[in-house]
Amino acid sequence: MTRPRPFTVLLAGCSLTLGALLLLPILALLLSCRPSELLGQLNDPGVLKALWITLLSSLLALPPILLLGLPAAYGLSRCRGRLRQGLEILLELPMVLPPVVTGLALLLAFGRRGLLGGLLADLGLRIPFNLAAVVIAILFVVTPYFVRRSAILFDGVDKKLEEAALLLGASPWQSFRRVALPVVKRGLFAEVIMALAQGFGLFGAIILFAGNLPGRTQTLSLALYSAFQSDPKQAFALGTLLLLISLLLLSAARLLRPWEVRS
Amino acid sequence: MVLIRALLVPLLLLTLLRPAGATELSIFAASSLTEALRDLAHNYEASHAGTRVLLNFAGSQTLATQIEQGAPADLFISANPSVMERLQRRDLVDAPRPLLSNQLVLAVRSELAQEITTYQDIARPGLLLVLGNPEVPVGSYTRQLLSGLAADADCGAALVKQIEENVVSEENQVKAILTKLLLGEADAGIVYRSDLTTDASRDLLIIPLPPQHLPQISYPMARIRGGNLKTEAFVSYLYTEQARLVFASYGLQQEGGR
Repeated sequence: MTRPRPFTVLLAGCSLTLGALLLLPILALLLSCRPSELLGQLNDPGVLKALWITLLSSLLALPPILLLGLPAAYGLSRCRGRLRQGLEILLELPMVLPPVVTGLALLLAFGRRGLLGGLLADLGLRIPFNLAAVVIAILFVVTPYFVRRSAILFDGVDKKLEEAALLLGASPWQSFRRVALPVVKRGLFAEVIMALAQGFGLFGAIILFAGNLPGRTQTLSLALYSAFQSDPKQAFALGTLLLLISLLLLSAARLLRPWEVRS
Repeated sequence: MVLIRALLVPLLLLTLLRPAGATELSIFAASSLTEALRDLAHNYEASHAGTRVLLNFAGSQTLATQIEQGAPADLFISANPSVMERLQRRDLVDAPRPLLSNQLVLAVRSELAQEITTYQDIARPGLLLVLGNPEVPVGSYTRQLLSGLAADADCGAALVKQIEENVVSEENQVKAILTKLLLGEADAGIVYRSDLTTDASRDLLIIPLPPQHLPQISYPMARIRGGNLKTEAFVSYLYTEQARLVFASYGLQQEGGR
Protein backbone atom coordinates (compact mmCIF):
# COMPACT_ATOMS: atom_id res chain seq x y z
CA MET A 1 0.00 0.00 0.00
CA THR A 2 1.45 3.34 -1.02
CA ARG A 3 0.86 6.43 1.04
CA PRO A 4 -0.85 9.22 -0.97
CA ARG A 5 1.59 11.90 -1.89
CA PRO A 6 1.28 15.26 -0.04
CA PHE A 7 0.49 17.05 -3.29
CA THR A 8 -2.43 14.71 -3.94
CA VAL A 9 -3.70 15.32 -0.41
CA LEU A 10 -3.45 19.06 -0.99
CA LEU A 11 -5.42 18.81 -4.25
CA ALA A 12 -8.12 16.70 -2.61
CA GLY A 13 -8.31 18.99 0.44
CA CYS A 14 -8.68 22.16 -1.62
CA SER A 15 -11.25 20.59 -3.93
CA LEU A 16 -13.33 19.31 -1.01
CA THR A 17 -13.28 22.73 0.68
CA LEU A 18 -14.32 24.42 -2.55
CA GLY A 19 -17.02 21.79 -3.09
CA ALA A 20 -18.43 22.42 0.37
CA LEU A 21 -18.33 26.18 -0.19
CA LEU A 22 -20.35 25.81 -3.41
CA LEU A 23 -22.73 23.09 -2.30
CA LEU A 24 -23.61 24.25 1.21
CA PRO A 25 -25.55 27.40 0.21
CA ILE A 26 -27.33 25.47 -2.57
CA LEU A 27 -28.24 22.71 -0.14
CA ALA A 28 -29.45 25.28 2.40
CA LEU A 29 -31.71 26.81 -0.25
CA LEU A 30 -33.12 23.42 -1.25
CA LEU A 31 -33.79 22.56 2.40
CA SER A 32 -35.47 25.91 3.06
CA CYS A 33 -38.79 24.92 1.57
CA ARG A 34 -40.92 21.82 1.25
CA PRO A 35 -41.84 20.43 -2.19
CA SER A 36 -45.50 21.26 -1.46
CA GLU A 37 -44.58 24.93 -0.94
CA LEU A 38 -42.67 24.84 -4.21
CA LEU A 39 -45.67 23.45 -6.09
CA GLY A 40 -47.91 25.98 -4.33
CA GLN A 41 -45.84 28.75 -5.95
CA LEU A 42 -46.84 27.46 -9.37
CA ASN A 43 -50.48 28.13 -8.50
CA ASP A 44 -49.76 31.73 -7.59
CA PRO A 45 -50.88 33.99 -10.47
CA GLY A 46 -48.17 36.52 -9.59
CA VAL A 47 -45.46 33.87 -9.86
CA LEU A 48 -46.87 32.54 -13.13
CA LYS A 49 -46.87 36.06 -14.54
CA ALA A 50 -43.22 36.52 -13.54
CA LEU A 51 -42.34 33.12 -14.99
CA TRP A 52 -44.00 34.10 -18.26
CA ILE A 53 -42.14 37.42 -18.44
CA THR A 54 -38.88 35.58 -17.70
CA LEU A 55 -39.47 33.03 -20.47
CA LEU A 56 -40.78 35.58 -22.95
CA SER A 57 -37.90 38.03 -22.52
CA SER A 58 -35.23 35.32 -22.71
CA LEU A 59 -36.83 33.79 -25.80
CA LEU A 60 -37.22 37.20 -27.47
CA ALA A 61 -33.55 37.87 -26.80
CA LEU A 62 -32.44 34.66 -28.51
CA PRO A 63 -32.91 35.64 -32.20
CA PRO A 64 -30.84 38.84 -31.88
CA ILE A 65 -28.22 36.99 -29.80
CA LEU A 66 -27.86 34.45 -32.61
CA LEU A 67 -28.16 36.95 -35.44
CA LEU A 68 -25.49 39.26 -34.02
CA GLY A 69 -23.51 36.80 -31.97
CA LEU A 70 -22.96 34.01 -34.44
CA PRO A 71 -21.26 36.08 -37.17
CA ALA A 72 -19.31 37.94 -34.48
CA ALA A 73 -18.11 34.65 -32.99
CA TYR A 74 -17.12 33.28 -36.41
CA GLY A 75 -15.32 36.53 -37.21
CA LEU A 76 -13.59 36.54 -33.84
CA SER A 77 -12.32 33.01 -34.33
CA ARG A 78 -10.59 34.10 -37.57
CA CYS A 79 -8.88 37.03 -35.86
CA ARG A 80 -5.42 36.57 -34.43
CA GLY A 81 -2.97 38.49 -32.27
CA ARG A 82 -3.56 42.05 -31.02
CA LEU A 83 -6.85 42.48 -32.83
CA ARG A 84 -8.33 39.41 -31.19
CA GLN A 85 -7.06 40.46 -27.78
CA GLY A 86 -8.60 43.90 -28.19
CA LEU A 87 -11.93 42.48 -29.28
CA GLU A 88 -11.94 40.02 -26.41
CA ILE A 89 -11.33 42.78 -23.88
CA LEU A 90 -14.30 44.63 -25.35
CA LEU A 91 -16.41 41.49 -24.91
CA GLU A 92 -15.19 40.95 -21.37
CA LEU A 93 -16.18 44.45 -20.29
CA PRO A 94 -19.94 43.80 -19.96
CA MET A 95 -19.13 40.55 -18.14
CA VAL A 96 -17.22 42.23 -15.33
CA LEU A 97 -19.38 45.35 -14.94
CA PRO A 98 -21.38 45.33 -11.70
CA PRO A 99 -25.05 44.78 -12.63
CA VAL A 100 -26.03 48.17 -11.17
CA VAL A 101 -23.51 49.91 -13.42
CA THR A 102 -24.85 47.96 -16.38
CA GLY A 103 -28.38 49.12 -15.58
CA LEU A 104 -27.30 52.74 -15.20
CA ALA A 105 -25.22 52.63 -18.37
CA LEU A 106 -28.18 51.25 -20.30
CA LEU A 107 -30.37 54.07 -18.92
CA LEU A 108 -27.74 56.63 -19.93
CA ALA A 109 -27.75 55.20 -23.45
CA PHE A 110 -31.39 54.30 -24.11
CA GLY A 111 -33.23 56.26 -21.38
CA ARG A 112 -35.37 59.31 -21.96
CA ARG A 113 -32.44 61.59 -21.22
CA GLY A 114 -29.92 59.14 -22.63
CA LEU A 115 -27.67 59.45 -25.67
CA LEU A 116 -30.28 57.94 -27.96
CA GLY A 117 -33.20 59.31 -25.92
CA GLY A 118 -34.12 62.12 -28.33
CA LEU A 119 -33.90 59.87 -31.36
CA LEU A 120 -36.04 57.17 -29.74
CA ALA A 121 -38.60 59.75 -28.58
CA ASP A 122 -38.89 61.07 -32.15
CA LEU A 123 -39.68 57.53 -33.24
CA GLY A 124 -42.29 57.37 -30.47
CA LEU A 125 -40.36 54.66 -28.61
CA ARG A 126 -39.95 54.47 -24.86
CA ILE A 127 -37.55 51.71 -23.86
CA PRO A 128 -37.28 51.88 -20.03
CA PHE A 129 -40.15 50.31 -18.08
CA ASN A 130 -40.99 48.08 -21.05
CA LEU A 131 -40.33 44.48 -21.99
CA ALA A 132 -37.95 45.87 -24.62
CA ALA A 133 -35.72 47.06 -21.78
CA VAL A 134 -35.64 43.57 -20.27
CA VAL A 135 -34.66 42.12 -23.65
CA ILE A 136 -31.96 44.75 -24.23
CA ALA A 137 -30.52 44.14 -20.75
CA ILE A 138 -30.34 40.41 -21.49
CA LEU A 139 -28.74 41.12 -24.89
CA PHE A 140 -26.12 43.39 -23.33
CA VAL A 141 -25.10 40.95 -20.62
CA VAL A 142 -25.53 37.59 -22.35
CA THR A 143 -24.32 38.19 -25.93
CA PRO A 144 -20.65 38.76 -24.98
CA TYR A 145 -20.57 35.40 -23.16
CA PHE A 146 -22.22 33.76 -26.13
CA VAL A 147 -19.70 35.25 -28.58
CA ARG A 148 -16.68 34.37 -26.43
CA ARG A 149 -17.76 30.78 -25.95
CA SER A 150 -18.95 30.25 -29.53
CA ALA A 151 -15.69 31.65 -30.88
CA ILE A 152 -13.90 28.90 -28.95
CA LEU A 153 -16.17 26.37 -30.66
CA PHE A 154 -15.25 27.78 -34.08
CA ASP A 155 -11.57 27.72 -33.07
CA GLY A 156 -11.94 23.96 -32.76
CA VAL A 157 -13.00 23.53 -36.39
CA ASP A 158 -10.17 22.01 -38.40
CA LYS A 159 -8.92 24.79 -40.69
CA LYS A 160 -7.94 22.20 -43.32
CA LEU A 161 -11.60 21.28 -43.78
CA GLU A 162 -12.53 24.85 -44.60
CA GLU A 163 -9.47 25.33 -46.81
CA ALA A 164 -10.40 22.20 -48.71
CA ALA A 165 -13.94 23.51 -49.19
CA LEU A 166 -12.60 26.83 -50.52
CA LEU A 167 -10.19 25.00 -52.88
CA LEU A 168 -13.09 22.98 -54.18
CA GLY A 169 -14.79 26.22 -55.17
CA ALA A 170 -17.06 26.93 -52.22
CA SER A 171 -17.68 30.57 -51.31
CA PRO A 172 -16.72 31.72 -47.78
CA TRP A 173 -20.45 31.74 -46.90
CA GLN A 174 -20.80 28.16 -48.15
CA SER A 175 -17.75 27.06 -46.20
CA PHE A 176 -19.23 28.66 -43.07
CA ARG A 177 -22.71 27.29 -43.68
CA ARG A 178 -21.75 23.78 -44.91
CA VAL A 179 -18.49 23.06 -43.09
CA ALA A 180 -17.99 25.11 -39.92
CA LEU A 181 -21.61 25.31 -38.74
CA PRO A 182 -22.37 21.57 -38.87
CA VAL A 183 -19.19 20.83 -36.91
CA VAL A 184 -20.11 23.17 -34.05
CA LYS A 185 -23.88 22.56 -34.19
CA ARG A 186 -24.16 20.60 -30.95
CA GLY A 187 -21.91 22.98 -29.08
CA LEU A 188 -23.96 25.92 -30.35
CA PHE A 189 -27.19 24.37 -29.07
CA ALA A 190 -25.53 24.07 -25.68
CA GLU A 191 -24.49 27.74 -25.82
CA VAL A 192 -28.04 28.77 -26.72
CA ILE A 193 -29.31 26.98 -23.62
CA MET A 194 -26.59 28.63 -21.54
CA ALA A 195 -27.73 32.00 -22.88
CA LEU A 196 -31.31 31.20 -21.84
CA ALA A 197 -30.19 30.19 -18.36
CA GLN A 198 -28.14 33.37 -17.96
CA GLY A 199 -31.07 35.52 -19.04
CA PHE A 200 -33.33 33.84 -16.47
CA GLY A 201 -31.10 34.83 -13.59
CA LEU A 202 -30.47 38.46 -14.54
CA PHE A 203 -31.43 40.95 -11.83
CA GLY A 204 -29.55 44.19 -11.22
CA ALA A 205 -29.50 45.46 -14.77
CA ILE A 206 -33.20 44.74 -15.23
CA ILE A 207 -34.47 46.33 -12.02
CA LEU A 208 -32.62 49.55 -12.85
CA PHE A 209 -33.20 49.74 -16.57
CA ALA A 210 -36.63 48.12 -16.92
CA GLY A 211 -38.13 48.78 -13.51
CA ASN A 212 -40.20 46.35 -11.51
CA LEU A 213 -43.83 46.06 -12.59
CA PRO A 214 -45.66 42.74 -12.22
CA GLY A 215 -46.94 41.51 -15.57
CA ARG A 216 -44.79 43.90 -17.57
CA THR A 217 -41.14 43.87 -16.58
CA GLN A 218 -41.06 41.77 -13.41
CA THR A 219 -39.04 38.62 -14.10
CA LEU A 220 -38.74 35.73 -11.67
CA SER A 221 -35.61 37.12 -10.02
CA LEU A 222 -37.30 40.51 -9.53
CA ALA A 223 -40.43 38.84 -8.14
CA LEU A 224 -38.17 36.93 -5.78
CA TYR A 225 -36.64 40.15 -4.49
CA SER A 226 -40.05 41.78 -4.08
CA ALA A 227 -41.40 38.73 -2.26
CA PHE A 228 -38.42 38.84 0.06
CA GLN A 229 -39.55 42.30 1.20
CA SER A 230 -42.60 40.85 2.93
CA ASP A 231 -42.44 37.08 2.87
CA PRO A 232 -38.93 35.59 3.02
CA LYS A 233 -40.46 32.09 2.90
CA GLN A 234 -41.94 32.77 -0.52
CA ALA A 235 -38.61 34.21 -1.63
CA PHE A 236 -36.89 30.96 -0.61
CA ALA A 237 -39.44 28.93 -2.58
CA LEU A 238 -38.98 31.14 -5.64
CA GLY A 239 -35.22 30.88 -5.22
CA THR A 240 -35.46 27.11 -5.21
CA LEU A 241 -37.66 27.24 -8.30
CA LEU A 242 -35.10 29.39 -10.11
CA LEU A 243 -32.31 27.07 -8.96
CA LEU A 244 -34.11 23.99 -10.28
CA ILE A 245 -34.81 25.65 -13.63
CA SER A 246 -31.15 26.63 -13.94
CA LEU A 247 -30.03 23.14 -12.97
CA LEU A 248 -32.29 21.65 -15.63
CA LEU A 249 -31.01 24.02 -18.31
CA LEU A 250 -27.36 23.54 -17.36
CA SER A 251 -27.73 19.75 -17.44
CA ALA A 252 -29.36 20.01 -20.86
CA ALA A 253 -26.48 22.19 -22.06
CA ARG A 254 -23.96 19.63 -20.72
CA LEU A 255 -25.69 16.72 -22.44
CA LEU A 256 -25.72 18.54 -25.76
CA ARG A 257 -22.10 19.65 -25.62
CA PRO A 258 -19.78 17.49 -27.76
CA TRP A 259 -17.37 15.30 -25.82
CA GLU A 260 -14.16 17.07 -26.84
CA VAL A 261 -15.37 20.32 -25.34
CA ARG A 262 -17.13 18.71 -22.42
CA SER A 263 -14.04 17.19 -20.87
CA MET B 1 1.75 23.20 8.05
CA VAL B 2 2.89 25.82 5.55
CA LEU B 3 -0.64 25.94 4.20
CA ILE B 4 -2.14 26.48 7.64
CA ARG B 5 0.34 29.29 8.29
CA ALA B 6 -0.47 30.81 4.92
CA LEU B 7 -4.15 30.77 5.81
CA LEU B 8 -3.52 32.27 9.24
CA VAL B 9 -1.83 35.38 7.87
CA PRO B 10 -4.91 36.91 6.20
CA LEU B 11 -7.00 36.01 9.25
CA LEU B 12 -4.55 37.81 11.48
CA LEU B 13 -4.60 40.82 9.17
CA LEU B 14 -8.38 40.89 9.31
CA THR B 15 -8.36 41.10 13.10
CA LEU B 16 -5.74 43.84 12.94
CA LEU B 17 -8.12 46.01 10.95
CA ARG B 18 -10.15 46.57 14.10
CA PRO B 19 -8.55 49.21 16.28
CA ALA B 20 -7.79 47.67 19.64
CA GLY B 21 -10.06 48.75 22.46
CA ALA B 22 -12.49 50.63 20.21
CA THR B 23 -16.21 50.22 20.78
CA GLU B 24 -18.13 49.45 17.64
CA LEU B 25 -21.85 50.09 17.52
CA SER B 26 -23.64 48.47 14.66
CA ILE B 27 -26.79 50.37 13.67
CA PHE B 28 -29.24 48.87 11.18
CA ALA B 29 -31.53 51.61 9.87
CA ALA B 30 -34.16 52.10 7.18
CA SER B 31 -32.66 53.62 4.05
CA SER B 32 -34.82 56.75 4.36
CA LEU B 33 -32.63 57.72 7.35
CA THR B 34 -29.36 57.51 5.41
CA GLU B 35 -28.36 61.20 5.35
CA ALA B 36 -29.57 62.13 8.83
CA LEU B 37 -27.94 59.19 10.59
CA ARG B 38 -24.66 59.63 8.72
CA ASP B 39 -24.46 63.18 10.08
CA LEU B 40 -25.44 62.13 13.57
CA ALA B 41 -23.01 59.21 13.65
CA HIS B 42 -20.26 61.54 12.50
CA ASN B 43 -21.07 64.04 15.28
CA TYR B 44 -21.29 61.26 17.84
CA GLU B 45 -17.93 59.77 16.89
CA ALA B 46 -16.35 63.23 17.12
CA SER B 47 -17.60 63.70 20.67
CA HIS B 48 -17.05 60.09 21.82
CA ALA B 49 -13.45 59.13 21.11
CA GLY B 50 -12.94 55.40 20.79
CA THR B 51 -16.47 54.72 19.58
CA ARG B 52 -17.17 53.79 15.99
CA VAL B 53 -20.70 53.83 14.67
CA LEU B 54 -21.15 51.37 11.81
CA LEU B 55 -24.24 52.08 9.76
CA ASN B 56 -26.05 49.55 7.62
CA PHE B 57 -28.84 51.01 5.50
CA ALA B 58 -31.38 48.97 3.55
CA GLY B 59 -35.12 48.45 3.32
CA SER B 60 -36.59 47.66 6.75
CA GLN B 61 -37.65 44.18 5.65
CA THR B 62 -34.17 43.36 4.39
CA LEU B 63 -32.65 44.51 7.68
CA ALA B 64 -35.17 42.51 9.72
CA THR B 65 -34.34 39.37 7.75
CA GLN B 66 -30.63 40.02 8.23
CA ILE B 67 -31.20 40.35 11.99
CA GLU B 68 -33.27 37.16 12.01
CA GLN B 69 -30.40 35.39 10.29
CA GLY B 70 -28.04 36.54 12.99
CA ALA B 71 -26.39 39.61 11.48
CA PRO B 72 -24.41 41.46 14.17
CA ALA B 73 -26.63 44.45 14.94
CA ASP B 74 -26.89 46.45 18.16
CA LEU B 75 -29.72 48.80 17.27
CA PHE B 76 -32.50 48.63 14.69
CA ILE B 77 -34.48 51.61 13.43
CA SER B 78 -37.34 50.50 11.21
CA ALA B 79 -39.47 52.57 8.85
CA ASN B 80 -42.33 50.24 9.57
CA PRO B 81 -43.81 49.20 12.94
CA SER B 82 -45.04 45.84 11.63
CA VAL B 83 -41.50 44.71 10.83
CA MET B 84 -40.44 45.69 14.33
CA GLU B 85 -43.36 43.70 15.75
CA ARG B 86 -42.17 40.68 13.81
CA LEU B 87 -38.76 40.87 15.51
CA GLN B 88 -40.46 41.49 18.87
CA ARG B 89 -42.58 38.35 18.52
CA ARG B 90 -39.40 36.38 17.93
CA ASP B 91 -37.87 37.91 21.03
CA LEU B 92 -34.98 39.32 19.04
CA VAL B 93 -35.36 42.93 20.24
CA ASP B 94 -36.06 44.81 23.47
CA ALA B 95 -39.22 46.91 23.75
CA PRO B 96 -39.32 49.36 20.82
CA ARG B 97 -39.82 53.10 21.34
CA PRO B 98 -40.87 55.69 18.78
CA LEU B 99 -37.96 57.74 17.43
CA LEU B 100 -39.18 59.67 14.42
CA SER B 101 -42.12 60.48 12.23
CA ASN B 102 -42.11 61.16 8.53
CA GLN B 103 -44.59 62.10 5.80
CA LEU B 104 -45.40 61.04 2.26
CA VAL B 105 -44.88 63.65 -0.45
CA LEU B 106 -45.55 63.73 -4.16
CA ALA B 107 -42.36 64.64 -6.02
CA VAL B 108 -42.52 65.80 -9.62
CA ARG B 109 -39.83 66.68 -12.18
CA SER B 110 -39.52 70.47 -12.21
CA GLU B 111 -39.97 70.75 -15.99
CA LEU B 112 -43.56 69.57 -15.45
CA ALA B 113 -44.36 72.59 -13.25
CA GLN B 114 -46.87 73.87 -15.81
CA GLU B 115 -48.67 70.58 -16.32
CA ILE B 116 -48.84 69.34 -12.74
CA THR B 117 -50.11 71.77 -10.16
CA THR B 118 -52.31 69.55 -8.00
CA TYR B 119 -51.96 65.91 -7.01
CA GLN B 120 -54.97 65.06 -9.23
CA ASP B 121 -52.82 65.96 -12.28
CA ILE B 122 -50.77 62.78 -11.92
CA ALA B 123 -53.76 60.95 -13.39
CA ARG B 124 -52.98 62.55 -16.79
CA PRO B 125 -52.62 59.80 -19.39
CA GLY B 126 -49.04 58.97 -20.33
CA LEU B 127 -47.43 60.30 -17.18
CA LEU B 128 -44.71 58.00 -15.85
CA LEU B 129 -45.35 57.37 -12.17
CA VAL B 130 -43.09 55.31 -9.92
CA LEU B 131 -44.33 54.07 -6.55
CA GLY B 132 -43.07 51.75 -3.85
CA ASN B 133 -43.82 48.04 -4.02
CA PRO B 134 -46.91 47.40 -1.79
CA GLU B 135 -44.75 44.96 0.21
CA VAL B 136 -42.37 47.67 1.42
CA PRO B 137 -43.33 50.45 3.87
CA VAL B 138 -43.34 53.36 1.42
CA GLY B 139 -45.48 51.34 -0.97
CA SER B 140 -47.96 50.19 1.64
CA TYR B 141 -48.33 53.77 2.99
CA THR B 142 -48.88 54.91 -0.60
CA ARG B 143 -51.64 52.31 -1.06
CA GLN B 144 -53.28 53.58 2.17
CA LEU B 145 -53.13 57.10 0.78
CA LEU B 146 -54.62 56.01 -2.55
CA SER B 147 -57.49 54.15 -0.92
CA GLY B 148 -58.18 57.26 1.18
CA LEU B 149 -58.19 59.36 -2.01
CA ALA B 150 -60.52 56.89 -3.74
CA ALA B 151 -63.11 57.48 -1.01
CA ASP B 152 -62.68 61.28 -1.19
CA ALA B 153 -65.13 63.37 -3.22
CA ASP B 154 -62.23 65.61 -4.39
CA CYS B 155 -60.56 62.68 -6.08
CA GLY B 156 -62.67 59.53 -6.39
CA ALA B 157 -62.13 55.92 -7.39
CA ALA B 158 -62.09 56.60 -11.13
CA LEU B 159 -59.24 59.09 -10.84
CA VAL B 160 -57.28 56.78 -8.52
CA LYS B 161 -57.67 54.04 -11.11
CA GLN B 162 -56.19 56.35 -13.75
CA ILE B 163 -53.35 57.21 -11.39
CA GLU B 164 -52.65 53.50 -10.87
CA GLU B 165 -52.60 52.97 -14.63
CA ASN B 166 -49.72 55.45 -14.85
CA VAL B 167 -47.52 53.34 -12.57
CA VAL B 168 -44.56 52.11 -14.62
CA SER B 169 -42.52 50.57 -11.82
CA GLU B 170 -42.91 49.44 -8.22
CA GLU B 171 -39.58 49.86 -6.49
CA ASN B 172 -38.41 47.94 -3.46
CA GLN B 173 -36.58 50.88 -1.96
CA VAL B 174 -37.62 54.48 -1.63
CA LYS B 175 -34.17 55.54 -2.88
CA ALA B 176 -34.80 53.62 -6.09
CA ILE B 177 -37.94 55.72 -6.72
CA LEU B 178 -35.83 58.82 -6.27
CA THR B 179 -33.12 57.51 -8.61
CA LYS B 180 -35.64 57.03 -11.41
CA LEU B 181 -36.92 60.59 -10.83
CA LEU B 182 -33.46 62.17 -10.68
CA LEU B 183 -32.35 60.33 -13.84
CA GLY B 184 -35.41 61.81 -15.52
CA GLU B 185 -36.81 58.41 -16.48
CA ALA B 186 -39.93 58.94 -14.36
CA ASP B 187 -42.13 62.05 -14.17
CA ALA B 188 -43.51 61.69 -10.66
CA GLY B 189 -43.15 59.53 -7.60
CA ILE B 190 -44.42 59.26 -4.04
CA VAL B 191 -41.58 59.27 -1.52
CA TYR B 192 -40.91 60.44 2.04
CA ARG B 193 -40.44 64.11 2.82
CA SER B 194 -37.02 63.18 4.21
CA ASP B 195 -35.89 61.94 0.81
CA LEU B 196 -36.12 65.38 -0.76
CA THR B 197 -33.48 67.11 1.34
CA THR B 198 -30.38 66.20 -0.66
CA ASP B 199 -28.83 68.64 -3.11
CA ALA B 200 -29.64 66.35 -6.01
CA SER B 201 -33.36 66.52 -5.27
CA ARG B 202 -33.48 70.35 -5.42
CA ASP B 203 -34.87 70.23 -8.94
CA LEU B 204 -37.88 68.18 -7.93
CA LEU B 205 -41.14 69.91 -7.11
CA ILE B 206 -43.17 68.95 -4.08
CA ILE B 207 -46.92 68.86 -4.70
CA PRO B 208 -49.05 68.95 -1.55
CA LEU B 209 -51.11 65.88 -0.72
CA PRO B 210 -54.36 66.19 1.28
CA PRO B 211 -53.20 65.98 4.92
CA GLN B 212 -56.32 64.15 6.12
CA HIS B 213 -55.36 61.14 3.97
CA LEU B 214 -51.67 61.05 4.86
CA PRO B 215 -50.96 57.89 6.84
CA GLN B 216 -49.18 58.06 10.19
CA ILE B 217 -45.57 57.14 9.52
CA SER B 218 -43.53 56.41 12.58
CA TYR B 219 -40.06 54.93 12.96
CA PRO B 220 -39.72 52.64 15.95
CA MET B 221 -36.29 51.92 17.36
CA ALA B 222 -35.21 48.95 19.47
CA ARG B 223 -32.03 47.48 20.89
CA ILE B 224 -31.16 44.02 19.66
CA ARG B 225 -31.13 41.38 22.39
CA GLY B 226 -27.55 40.58 23.30
CA GLY B 227 -26.25 43.67 21.50
CA ASN B 228 -23.64 46.06 22.84
CA LEU B 229 -24.89 47.78 26.03
CA LYS B 230 -23.03 50.97 25.10
CA THR B 231 -25.73 51.47 22.47
CA GLU B 232 -27.82 53.09 25.20
CA ALA B 233 -25.63 56.20 25.17
CA PHE B 234 -26.13 56.55 21.41
CA VAL B 235 -29.88 56.04 21.85
CA SER B 236 -29.96 58.89 24.40
CA TYR B 237 -28.02 61.04 21.95
CA LEU B 238 -30.70 60.47 19.30
CA TYR B 239 -33.27 62.08 21.63
CA THR B 240 -31.21 65.24 22.31
CA GLU B 241 -32.06 68.70 21.02
CA GLN B 242 -28.95 68.60 18.83
CA ALA B 243 -30.22 65.41 17.18
CA ARG B 244 -33.69 66.91 16.81
CA LEU B 245 -32.25 69.75 14.75
CA VAL B 246 -30.28 67.38 12.52
CA PHE B 247 -33.35 65.20 11.98
CA ALA B 248 -35.46 68.29 11.25
CA SER B 249 -32.98 69.50 8.63
CA TYR B 250 -33.61 66.21 6.84
CA GLY B 251 -37.38 66.49 7.03
CA LEU B 252 -37.79 64.08 9.94
CA GLN B 253 -39.64 64.88 13.12
CA GLN B 254 -38.22 63.60 16.39
CA GLU B 255 -40.80 61.92 18.60
CA GLY B 256 -40.77 62.76 22.28
CA GLY B 257 -41.43 59.43 24.01
CA ARG B 258 -38.60 57.80 25.91
